[in-house]
Amino acid sequence: MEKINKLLSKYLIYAVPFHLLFIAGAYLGHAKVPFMGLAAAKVFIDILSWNFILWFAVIVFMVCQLLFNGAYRSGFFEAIKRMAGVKERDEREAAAVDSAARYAYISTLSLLVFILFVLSVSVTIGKLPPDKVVDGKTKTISIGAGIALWDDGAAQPAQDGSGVIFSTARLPLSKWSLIALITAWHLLSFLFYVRRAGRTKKIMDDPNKTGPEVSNG
Amino acid sequence: MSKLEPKLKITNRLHVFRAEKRISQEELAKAIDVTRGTIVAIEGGDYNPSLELAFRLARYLNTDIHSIFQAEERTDGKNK
Repeated sequence: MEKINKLLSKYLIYAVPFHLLFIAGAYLGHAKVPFMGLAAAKVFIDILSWNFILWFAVIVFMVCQLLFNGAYRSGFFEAIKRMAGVKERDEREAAAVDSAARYAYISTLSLLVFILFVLSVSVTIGKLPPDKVVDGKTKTISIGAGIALWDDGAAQPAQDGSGVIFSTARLPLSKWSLIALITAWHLLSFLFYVRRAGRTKKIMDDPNKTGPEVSNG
Repeated sequence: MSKLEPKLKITNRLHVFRAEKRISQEELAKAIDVTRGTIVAIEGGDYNPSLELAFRLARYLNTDIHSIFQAEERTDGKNK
């Protein structure tokens, strides 16, 4: 299993340039560039798209391992670190990454909370019809707060009875729910790892624990 | 003063020891398995090494930690 994980970790890194090729191909196809109509180009883009799907499937597989099996954590972390450009060649670089991660955590959390706020509060400025103008005031402003958990536009059945049963492209979660989910994940994963990392210190600080004998000689 | 603010100012004489040994920053970095940037940062007072790295430095330079690193009370209230 460890060998497979090593291979998958390498695949995660080396497949990235092919994704860029795939994105470029998709863009050229969209722009209707003549050579993209060739059969060979279509087959090539098809292969790249399958590679793209496989890559995400591997990511999901690795994340599941990360959650349920700590033994494979290091390989996945190494792959993600390489993709993210994280360098920890010695303790000073590790300390720099620590402080950067602290900043990134706080700034991302702030941004998520801000987006949640923007999605929860609605401010609408409108124009009144001429017959409803009061004291010459033609504009109206309304401020409200509301939370939509589900996306209403997702998977509507067609009139003839056919319809999409499930589509990942039409996730029933609203924008607010997605941001709330990411915020909760961000916070809880941080608290979980801080607790885990702090556990070692707790044992060290335990006054009942017998410490190593210290000789003065 | 917050709990996270350093209360002691750590200075070092690493460059003196390195000059005495006639070794470059690169050679010292290789010998104790760190990057040259770390040696530069320690000598410049921008980074305080861990206790383990301080011991590794002292061992390699055949001296004790106190000869390389000194701690004095911080009076300026600044980090450096």
